[in-house]
Formats: sequence, structure tokens, C-alpha cells
Amino acid sequence: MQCEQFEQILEQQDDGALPKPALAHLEACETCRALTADFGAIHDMALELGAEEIAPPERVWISLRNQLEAEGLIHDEQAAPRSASHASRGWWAVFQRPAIAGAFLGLALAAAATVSYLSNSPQTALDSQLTLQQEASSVPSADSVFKEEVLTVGIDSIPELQRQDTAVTNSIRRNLQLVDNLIAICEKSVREQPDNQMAREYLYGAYQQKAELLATAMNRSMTGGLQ
Amino acid sequence: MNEAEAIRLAQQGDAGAFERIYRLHNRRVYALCLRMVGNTAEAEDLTQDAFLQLFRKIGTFRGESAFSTWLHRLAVNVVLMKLRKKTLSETSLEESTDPEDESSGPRREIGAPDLLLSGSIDRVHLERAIQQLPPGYRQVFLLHDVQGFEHNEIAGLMDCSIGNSKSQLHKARMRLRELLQETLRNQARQERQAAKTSGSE
Repeated sequence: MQCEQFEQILEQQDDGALPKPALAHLEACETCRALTADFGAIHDMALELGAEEIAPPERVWISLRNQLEAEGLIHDEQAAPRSASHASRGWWAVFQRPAIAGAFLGLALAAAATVSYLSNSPQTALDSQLTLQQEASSVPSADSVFKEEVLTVGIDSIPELQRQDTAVTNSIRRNLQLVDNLIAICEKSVREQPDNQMAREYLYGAYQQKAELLATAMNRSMTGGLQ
Repeated sequence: MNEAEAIRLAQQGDAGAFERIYRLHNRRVYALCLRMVGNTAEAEDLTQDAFLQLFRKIGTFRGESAFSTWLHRLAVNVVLMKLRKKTLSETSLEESTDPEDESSGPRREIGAPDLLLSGSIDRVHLERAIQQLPPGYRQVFLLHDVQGFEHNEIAGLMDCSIGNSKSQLHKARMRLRELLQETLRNQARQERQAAKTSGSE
């Protein structure tokens, strides 16, 4: 048997037992013995790799949970049931607060500017940003309002929520801390690599997550207060 | 909360149960995605997609198979679907488009001794070498040697023949061997140079 034939058998037999002629060749051929030994070493190391576990970043769960909530796949047992009218009254009340309304307007404008910048040519993006800036002139510096009002808001700013279920409050607090950490990391990345589009997208996603978490917390506090 | 209880509660839409299931399995799923795509951002997206699909279908899980096996297979499908979309025009398992495919055996440097890999390679070397494999080889190698799927399962997952799966695996191992031997030679060369430098000082 030639080495080429042995290799063909090895390929087809894979992990199974080799036939007698192949075994006889293996006994006599140092090259093929080295080959099978190396395959064995690679296989053993690969098995070790397979047993290895790597933790994904926490943002994966935050994003997944948001998606599950958006699709209505999960419901929180601790969330008190509420009617549609209560919910809408709660949201309306939230938006009646000038600072929060300004923050959400800021978020919307910042998001629009970001999306416009990412999806258009530099000139068009510049034009859009100029237009947005002109439109936003009635609302003093949308981006700064967003940063001051949303990014500095914490769970302690929502006193009604703290009077509610401690478990819920703690859960939201934990998630807010995670998102704040994520924002800090993303902002650092964007500062270090201003041209990195992925870093900008992550930062934008993190801002969105914080806004969504705060909206959820405020919604809870409002509906809780109404019951 | 054990896994069976978490599954039962998740089927009723309990948020805590979903998180419990995620925490139990996210490391294995993320590791699988990361190895298959070799990119953290994509691996994160795929991990999210895999769990999203799992939670959408969790109501249909009846417990005939192990939950982890079900999830594992689902994650592999999500990754392969993504890779298929991404590389449809670049790679086909049924044809050898890679010029390196044609090599029938390991290329050996004339005069260079064969280096036995046993005891000389570590995980880092192997992971680097795996990332250098052509996509078709890498997928079959990861599924068979790393994740432990059988050739008939791989054939089903990748929509190819069993023979093709075996052939791709063999070529992947041959290529890995070359890459790892190359690494060992480079290491030996560097050590020799370092010894020479320290000797001449």
C-alpha cells in the first residue's frame, strides 16, 4: 500500500478502526505514523476547545430582553396588571414633565442626526445635520439636553419607584448600572477611534437602551402611583 | 430554579425563567458562535438571534431530546444560515474553490524535519490555525472535532453528502497540521536566533 492510498482510507474511515492492510502500512511507514499521531493531537486539543465556555458581554442579555419584551414573549410577574387607559395616562404624564420631554426630543434628534450621518454621503449628512441644527434651535442644543437630562438621570430621580417593590427597583437599578458602564466603555471607544462606525453604533444602541430602561422605570412609577 | 422548572415557567412567559435559561447556556452558545464566525460583534448578534429563536419556539419543546442538544443544534443552524447568506457566492462545500484544496498532502520544506505536534501545540496555536482555515473546512472541523457532531449530522446541517463532510474534515486536518508545523518551525527558528544573539553578547 502506498501512502496516498493510506490517506484515502484514513479520510473515509475517520474515527473508525483501520482495515488490516492499512494497519500493516502504518506499522511500516514512519511518515504515516507521524500523520496519524498529529491528527490525534489535533483532535484531542479540539475536544478541549469544545469544552471551553466564553461569557458574552452583558449587553447581549439586555438587548435580548428588550427584544423579548418588544415581541411580548415575556411578562414580569412582579409588574402589576394595568389597563390601557392607565398606561396611556402614565405615558402622557411622563411627557408632561418638561425636562423628560426635552430629553426624549433630544434623543429623537440625536438619533436622527446619527442615522442621517451614517446613511448619507458626507455632504448630505452635513446638510441634514445643519437642517436638524436649525430645527433644533428652538430646543437649546438637543444633544446636550439629551446628555444632561437622560444620561444623568438615575433611578434615584424616580422616587415613586423606590416606594414600590424592592426587587423590581433593584433589578432596574442593576440594569441601569450595566448600561451606564456600557455607555462609558462605548464613549471611550468613540473618543479613541472617532471614525469607527461600529463603536458609534454601539454607543447609539447603549443610549437607546438607557432611554428605554428609564422609560420603563418611569412608566412603572406612574402606573404604580395611579393604582 | 432548575432547568426543567425554568423551561416550564418560560413556556408560560416568565421573565425570570428566560433569564435563568439564558444564564445557564449563554457561555456555550457564545463560544460556539465566536469560533464559527471569528468576530465578537457578529458572535454577539448570533448569540442573541439563537436565544431569540429558542424563546420563540420554547412552547414547542416537549422534552423528547435534551434541552441543551436542542439549543445547540438551533444555534448551529442560526450560525450556518448566517454564514450561508454571507458566503454563498464565496464558498461552496460541493466544489473545491480554494486553490489550497488541491494540495494532496502536507507541504514539507526540503531538509526540514517533520515536527510531531503531540505535546507541542496548545489551544492558542490551534485557535489561530483554525481561524486561518478556508470557511468550508473551518465549519466542518468545528462541527466535528470541536462540537462533536457526527458526519451524518453535519451532512444534514450543511446540506452536503457524508462523503463530502469526511473529505472536508480530512483536508481541514491536513491544513491545520501544516499551519501548526509552520508555527513550531518559526518558534524553533526564533529560539535559535535568540540563543545565537545571547551567545554572541
